[in-house]
Order: sequence, then structure tokens, then C-alpha cells
Amino acid sequence: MPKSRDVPHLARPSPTQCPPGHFAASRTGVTHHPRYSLPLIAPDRPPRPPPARSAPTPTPIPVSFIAELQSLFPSDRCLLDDAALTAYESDGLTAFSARPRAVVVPVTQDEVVAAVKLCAAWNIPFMARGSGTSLSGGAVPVDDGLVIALNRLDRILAIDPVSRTTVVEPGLINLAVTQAVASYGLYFAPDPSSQQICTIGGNVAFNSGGAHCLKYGMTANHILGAKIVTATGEVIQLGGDSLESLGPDWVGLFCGSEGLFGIALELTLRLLPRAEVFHTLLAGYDSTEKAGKAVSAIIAAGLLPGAIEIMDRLAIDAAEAATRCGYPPHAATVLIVELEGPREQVDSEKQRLAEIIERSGPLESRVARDADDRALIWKGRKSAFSAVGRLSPDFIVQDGVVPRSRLGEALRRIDGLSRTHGLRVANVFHAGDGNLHPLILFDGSVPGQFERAEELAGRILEMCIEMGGSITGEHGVGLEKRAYLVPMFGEADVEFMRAVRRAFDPHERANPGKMFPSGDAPALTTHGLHPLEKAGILSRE
Amino acid sequence: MTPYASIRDALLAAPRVRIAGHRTKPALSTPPEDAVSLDLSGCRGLTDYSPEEFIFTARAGTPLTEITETLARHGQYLPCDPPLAARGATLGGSIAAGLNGSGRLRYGGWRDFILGAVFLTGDGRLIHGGGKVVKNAAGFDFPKMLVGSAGRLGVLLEATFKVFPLPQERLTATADTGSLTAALALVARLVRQPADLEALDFDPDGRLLVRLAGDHGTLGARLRRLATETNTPFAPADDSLWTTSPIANSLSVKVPVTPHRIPELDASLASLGLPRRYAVAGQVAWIGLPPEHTTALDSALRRLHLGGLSLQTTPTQLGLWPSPRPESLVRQVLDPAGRLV
Ligand SMILES: Cc1cc2nc3c(=O)[nH]c(=O)nc-3n(C[C@H](O)[C@H](O)[C@H](O)COP(=O)(O)OP(=O)(O)OC[C@H]3O[C@@H](n4cnc5c(N)ncnc54)[C@H](O)[C@@H]3O)c2cc1C
Repeated sequence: MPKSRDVPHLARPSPTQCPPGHFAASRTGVTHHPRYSLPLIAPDRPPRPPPARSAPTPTPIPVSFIAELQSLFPSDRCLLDDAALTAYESDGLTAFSARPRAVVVPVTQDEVVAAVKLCAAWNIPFMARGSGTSLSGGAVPVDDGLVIALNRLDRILAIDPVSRTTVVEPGLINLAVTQAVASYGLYFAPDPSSQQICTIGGNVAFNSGGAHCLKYGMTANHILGAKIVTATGEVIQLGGDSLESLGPDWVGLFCGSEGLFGIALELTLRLLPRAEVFHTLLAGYDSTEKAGKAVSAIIAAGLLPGAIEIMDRLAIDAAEAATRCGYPPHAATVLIVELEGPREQVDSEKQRLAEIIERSGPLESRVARDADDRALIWKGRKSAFSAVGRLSPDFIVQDGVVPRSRLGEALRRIDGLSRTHGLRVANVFHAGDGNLHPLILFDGSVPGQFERAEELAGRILEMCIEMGGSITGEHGVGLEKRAYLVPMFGEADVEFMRAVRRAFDPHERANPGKMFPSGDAPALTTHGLHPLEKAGILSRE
Repeated sequence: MTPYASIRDALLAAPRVRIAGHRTKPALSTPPEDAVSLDLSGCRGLTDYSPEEFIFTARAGTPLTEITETLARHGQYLPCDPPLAARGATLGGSIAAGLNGSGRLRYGGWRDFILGAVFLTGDGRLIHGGGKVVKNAAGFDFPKMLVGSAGRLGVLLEATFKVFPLPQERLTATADTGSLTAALALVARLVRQPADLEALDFDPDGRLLVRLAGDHGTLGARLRRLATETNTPFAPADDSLWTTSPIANSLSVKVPVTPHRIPELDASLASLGLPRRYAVAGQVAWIGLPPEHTTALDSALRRLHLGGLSLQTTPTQLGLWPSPRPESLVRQVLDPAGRLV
């Protein structure tokens, strides 16, 4: 884990710098780099009548959308030139890129609302952007649309330690929440591995996860209130500041809506008291099957660990090479289980856990001696994905969910797919949740490998659907998985989702082209390393 | 579709419909003059339960007790601790009313445990929202939207939940702090402790009720430590205090609140002479409401910028409610004819 002081310059890019989450260059040699393109808004199309605005000073009558934009934002926060726009063309999934018409960097909520209203008046599509770490293409701009970059809308507006809540703006970095409330003994539970850099707004839009979802749920479970501006420019408060609420759970619906209803301006987060003690166990097995059975036994025994993670040999090799984390050298699989809670409870649970692990036939197992040892165990786990970059020039990170008790079967099938496609697959997963993250390794410079990798990634999603699971546990649908939404839900349910989206956004101006299938569905494609991963600052789960 | 065809027919046969389960919350289930009742109490039963997955699916009319008993046989429970179960409340009614019990403090309410929902829109479309796995980020989260929707956003037919392992043991304790102010000060310290309380309620006189849950043989030590660390004489008490409490009985107006607003709320309620109790570490007030005080409570809540849900008497919405705007937007899509009232 990087020290927090490494973070600020990443968290607050000057708008002309490459924003966090942007890949300067793809690592792959694939030449048919797919370029994602959305229906163009013809720039010279006659605009709708401009909105009635009371101009503060007598300005010339606006002649274009851009001119109006410039009247709302100073030039250093209204980016129009090529070099500046390039930095915003793609997100954590490098494969897709699109050129926005302009990027604005609001510093107040009113500025966001004004930008959205302007888009409504001129019928220009827009997309909110946090740190651009989306792994599903969710933060790729709409071609020729407006990017509303929220990194500088990042104030903490209130902390109420007695109610265990905090009110923040959406551009705030996830980890900054816990840093701000730690002195009260509190923390913000959602912990995606990108937490040093991703924003609360992005977490909310994707309902992001992390290693602790089994016990604490996803981002949505930690959001009590959201002030939003809908695509039509209307500001609405959803939810409130209490754990309890009245009326339908609109906050719950907004979380995970991938920016398709509008933009979150202000969020009320629920905080939790930090656990008193942690007990971290690492066990190595000669087969993934055995590790999977151990997970089932742990759950069946009624234990509720904070985290249960599994890594296979390929992932271990990568982690070991990157971090010397000291995982069992001969194991085919490692299992990490972390108990947390009041001392007496953890003391009792750790005995139950030890018995279960002993009966599960591990090659070896050990318990973290102290906080440093615990950190080392987690470092191996958290670095695994980026570390896979050492084993292969290119890889695809897949994110799918299967029923927890069928993890063993899912892994066998992935192994079979790996053989038939002639590509190695490393597996790292949140075993307690049934959330798989297979990493498909390939070499984009070898003809045909990229296509096979793509095809294999698709087969894994089909398997998840067939097993009654989900096409995404935490990375969202974005652009990448649009083609799988209908196979998962069926035409009628997806049509209904679209209709509800239109209730908030009748003209489909908010982040259009995402989540729902469309004619030009782009292919799945290669994931290289994030620049921050290369720098060893970040790792992905 | 087949098992739900008759419900759909009944829905579409009437211009205005009010859904009812076991009618434990009459203010929500009694049809207004011009509407007919759509009774879902016959639509019941667990349709899917795999204990090893810690997930179950049940039809909306299933009594909560049937669910909690089945879960308990497998050492599992619903952490949202739904109230009114003993009186026959159904799963659908509890979700639609958005009612959680005191035990929701530790892990969350219905919204935190619902994974999937099958429902009919007001114009009779059958929609499947969410899924049947514990983690899922695909598509819009309609199941959450239905929590608290009081039947106005769809006819909930069945829902899927994740559940948790039942704690081996529970321990209830009380402490008398002497005043509301002292109780709030103690609550402020307790919520930041890693004590992992399962429930924490208090009354206007400053009597605190806490519940610990965990492994056999650990709770006594945890309680002693809590007492020492907070310098408060907690005394073990009977678990039945939770079920015999006024909440389970006569306090039928729910008011979401935060601890720092409780003093002003309590002063108002005291001046009206209304019985009350504060649950979930001061995140909700439960208030007893004799019908003749309805207008007075309504204006008191308005003054305080708070809102309340009345389960026994109409109007159900008291004080200031959250913006109705999202509901009116979404209802245009899922109930264009305004059938669900
Ligand atoms: C190295 C690495 C590790 C990762 N690990 C994890 C992990 O462990 N778990 C996990 O779940 N994800 C993980 N991710 C994915 C990603 O970090 C998350 O999806 C994150 O929540 C995105 O946040 P962001 O600020 O970068 O959002 P962006 O990528 O900028 O945006 C994501 C989406 O949110 C929308 N959006 C942003 N702000 C708002 C707003 N205020 N209102 C409305 N919509 C908005 C955007 O339009 C876009 O559709 C990882 C990514 C990387 C690169």
C-alpha cells in the first residue's frame, strides 16, 4: 500500500495533465485496436433554442454551445484543445476511446448543474468522470459530447461521528474518507483496490466492491443519501442522513446506475467503527478443489469472516515475483481468511477456523504474527493482478459471479476453457462472494491470440449466466459487457431498465451508449496495466 | 408466469388497486374508497432455499415467521430483524413498508439484504430485477427501489435475500443513565467503540437497552469490558425485553432521525404527551399515536423538518417526506394509468 502522502498529486491532477486512470499508451501490439464510437451529434446541427439565462454582465449573444460553456467556466477549467482532450479519451479499460467535444472541470455543485442544463438546452450528451479508473469502459467519453470532470469537486462537507455519517462531494477519493474519519475510530467500508485514486462518485455509479463485500456489502450499502442532478437539469435529493428512511429506496436505485440517470452532486456516507482485532490466516493447498471445500466448510460452520480470498498457482507466482509475500512455495492454491471483531469473539472464532482448516487438508497454513505480517499477506493478494503483467505481455481481467457453492465447478470449467483456447488463465477471486476474477493471459503480437482471449472471456461470462450468476460483481457493464445484459436478464427486463432510465433522462443524454446493447457493440479487448500499477502504486482486484 | 397469472388478472381487472398482505399495518393495506384490495396472502411459500448459499427466495405473502423458523433450523437469520413478525406480518408487506427492527443496527436493513425481486408493474408487465447471487453489479437495482415503496411501484411477487449465520448466543443488558441527555452522551461513545453491538435502543428517561451477539462463552466478558470501558453499570436483562417492548406493540409511527436531533424531537413529543422510544442508536424514533393527536404530530414533525410513517392510522405520511419527484417520474413508466394506490 502506498503511503497516503503519495496520493494527492494523483488525486488532483491539474486539468491539463493526463488525468488519473488514463493510459498514455496501450501496452499491446494489437493493431486492430477497436475504436469505440457513439452516434455522432452533428456539430453544425441547429441547436434547440438556448435557455433563458439571466446573464450577469452584458455578454455578446452566445452563438454556440462552446461559447456558452466558455461563459460558464474560466479557460483553465474549460478544456478544448486537442492535447488536453486526449487525456480524457479513455478510462482504465484502454481499448475504447472517444474524443469529447470539451471537458469542463467544475469546482462547485452549481457549476455541474449549469453544465448539465446547458447540455439539455443544446441537446449535447455528457458524461461525469471521476478518476477514470473504470475497468468496463464506463468512463469513456461520449463521442463529441461533454465530459464533466469531477475531481476538483471534492470537499468533505460534514462529519457526524455520533450518527456515523459524513457528507462529501463526488470527486473525493475513496481513501480520503477513511483518512478523514479515522481519528473517530471510524472508517468507510467499501475498499476497491483502486481506493487510493477512485472517487466516491465513481464508486456510487458502479456500486463498486472490494474484498469485504460478504460481511459489509457493496458501495450501495454504505450510501444513505444522494443529491443528484438529473439529465434534464433538475436537482433532487434522494434519501437522507439517517440509517432509516421513508419511501422507496431511490438511493439504492441510483447506486450502480452507471451515470445514466444524472450526476451525483453530494453523497451521505455511512461509516463503521473499526474492528478491534484482526486474525489473518494463510493456507496452501495442493488443489483448488480443496481450497474451495475449505471455503464451503468455513461458511457452513457459521463463521462470517471479513474476507475470504483465493489465488491459484499462476497468480501466486506473479504475486511472489512482485512482492516476495512468502506464500507456500509448492501450493497449487492459497486461501486467505481474515476474521475481525471484538477480541473475545475473534479468539473463539479463530479456534473454530483452525479446526476447519486442519480438517481441510492444507499443505501448510500460518497465521499473521503481527500487523506487518498481515500487511505482507495482503500485499501479495492485492498485487496479484498487476503482477500478472510480469508473466504475460497482455491480459484481460474478467469479473463475473457464480453461486458460491459452485466455485469449484466454475474453476474446473475455466480450466477446461483455458486448455481448449490454448491460453493461460490466472485466477484470483473473492471466494466468499463467488466473485471470480479470471485473468486471461495472451500476447497481442501473436496473430490470433487476442481474438482467442476475447472469445475465452466471453465464454466465461456465458458460463456465469448459465450457472445462475452475474456478468459483473463489481466492475459494471459499461461498454465492455453491453452484449451480455440481454442474455442475463432477457429482452423485456432490459427494455424496462431503459424505460426507467428515460424517466430520469428522456433524451438519453447522460452517458449514452453505456450498459444497454446497441448496434455497434464493441468487442471485448485487451487490458494492459494501468500506469499507476506499473509504478507499483495500485493493484487491481 | 403461470403461478402469477391470476394475480395479474386481478390487478388488471381493477382501475385502482391497493395491495394487502396479512394487514398488520392497516393504514398501508386498507384500500381507499375507490380502490379494490389485491390480497397477496395466498401467494406464499419459500420457493428456493439453499442453506449452503445463505440465500433464499420466498413469495411475497409468506409470513415472516415461516421464513425465520426455516432459517433458524439451518442456523441462519435475517439480520434486519423485521418487527411485527409475531403478529403474522408477511415478507412482502415488511419490504413494502420498509420496516426494520432494532437488530438492523449491526448489519443493515431490508435494503442491505435484498438481492432480487420479481414484480408486476401497474400495467401488468412481469419484471425480474437483481439476481440470485450475493454480489451483482449488472443492471439497475430494482429490488432496492421496492423497499419502502408501499406497493406503489409494483406488485412484489417474490424476493431473494442473502442471510447470515445465526449468532450462537445473545445477551441483553440495560443501563439506567437517568436522563435523555446522559443516554445520548453514552450512545455517542458506544457507537464509536468496536464493541459490535447488535442492537442499541433507549427511552426518553435515559434507560438504555443493548444486545450483544456472538459465540458461546464470550458475551459475559464482552459485557464486562463494555461496562468498564464506558464506566457504565450494564446489568444483564431478559431477552424478552425486545419483543415485549412497546415497539412491538403500540408504537406505530416510524420517524427516521439522527441522534443530535433527538433532544428537540423529544421535547415536542413530551409536550404532546406521546409515548416514544429511540431505536438503532438513535437513528429512528417510534412513537405511539392516539388518532386525535394526528394533526398535532404532523405539524410538530413539519416544524422539525422530520417525516413519519404511520402504520395504524391515516394519513400514513406525516410531517415532511423526501421529494416525491423520483416516484412521480418512475410511476409514469411503470404505472402510467395510476392503478397502484
Ligand atoms: C487498478 C485498479 C483496481 C481496481 N479494483 C477494483 C476493485 O477492487 N473493486 C471494484 O469494484 N472496482 C475496481 N476497479 C474499478 C474502478 O476503480 C471502480 O469502478 C471505481 O469505482 C471507478 O471510480 P472512478 O472515480 O475512477 O470513476 P470513473 O471511472 O471516472 O467513472 C466510472 C463511471 O461512473 C460515472 N460517474 C463518475 N462520477 C459520477 C457521479 N458523480 N455521478 C454519476 N456518475 C458518475 C462515470 O460516468 C462512469 O460511468 C479497479 C480499477 C483499477 C484501475
